[in-house]
Amino acid sequence: MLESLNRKTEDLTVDSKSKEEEEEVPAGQVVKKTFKKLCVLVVDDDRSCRSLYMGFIQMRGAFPYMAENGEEAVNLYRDGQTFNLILMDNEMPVMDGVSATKELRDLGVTSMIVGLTSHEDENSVFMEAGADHCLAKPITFENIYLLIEQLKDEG
Amino acid sequence: MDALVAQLQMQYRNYTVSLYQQGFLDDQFTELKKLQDDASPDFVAEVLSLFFEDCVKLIGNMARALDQTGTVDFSQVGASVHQLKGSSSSVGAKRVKGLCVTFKEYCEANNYEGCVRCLQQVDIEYKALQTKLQDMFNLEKQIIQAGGKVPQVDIN
Repeated sequence: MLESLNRKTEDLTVDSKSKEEEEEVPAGQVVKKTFKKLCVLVVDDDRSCRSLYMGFIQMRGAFPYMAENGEEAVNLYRDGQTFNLILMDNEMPVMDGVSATKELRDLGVTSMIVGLTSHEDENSVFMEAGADHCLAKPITFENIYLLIEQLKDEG
Repeated sequence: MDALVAQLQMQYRNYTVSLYQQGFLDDQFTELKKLQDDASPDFVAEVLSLFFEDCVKLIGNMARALDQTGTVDFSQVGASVHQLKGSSSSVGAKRVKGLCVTFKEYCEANNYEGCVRCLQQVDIEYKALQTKLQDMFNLEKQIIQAGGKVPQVDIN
């Protein structure tokens, strides 16, 4: 889990809202912001997983894209597409996530890449390939929310 | 009308809680429900529809792989089991996920009888879950048709 991204709710403010629109956030709740113009690539061969992640991304106002395997993801970049965030599953047909991560980094891609792992031992392999973070499946949507939050902070 | 709505809402709450208590669903399903709102009222049903379609496909793949005359390719079976484990885990299908864990162990041990038993159980469990969730969705529809709102159910 990404302990470094966990923040107290008191630290989060909704910058895009006017004072009148700001609400006091009850303890234990993460403030839901709408993310505009953030492009997120979901790379997973499982349709229900892709739908889940894309649903969350869309509901928060960001633009989701999808690829069914690592090779499709790499080809998107080769075709000139860029993304702010890549959610990369590992075990996929044609090209797995670790291989795709390595290939993307070799191409000079600097997007945040988050490996979605089923086993703990996948973490180190993903990080060595160039992933920025790993998340254990099943992913909670607070995890994804906090990742996007970090991206916005990094500007 | 209010009494009917209240009755349906109570029935819905109790039924949903029972699905968690009986182990059909886990916290990941709660995460899934959080994504549903007025803009996407059928989101959960749509994702689950994809999941159940994939169950049919993957179980078919497993059955074909186990039905090979001669040597069974357990890695091929295991690949489908792994996929089903991942998707069941993501939608909160707790029993199906649990069976996949056991199934994977049998694949790794090249245990044919174990694999066949697991295949049969997985088939039963995903169908049972499908029926239970359909009943839950039907209750939601009844609540809405009666003029009420589907309540948030606190599992803890």
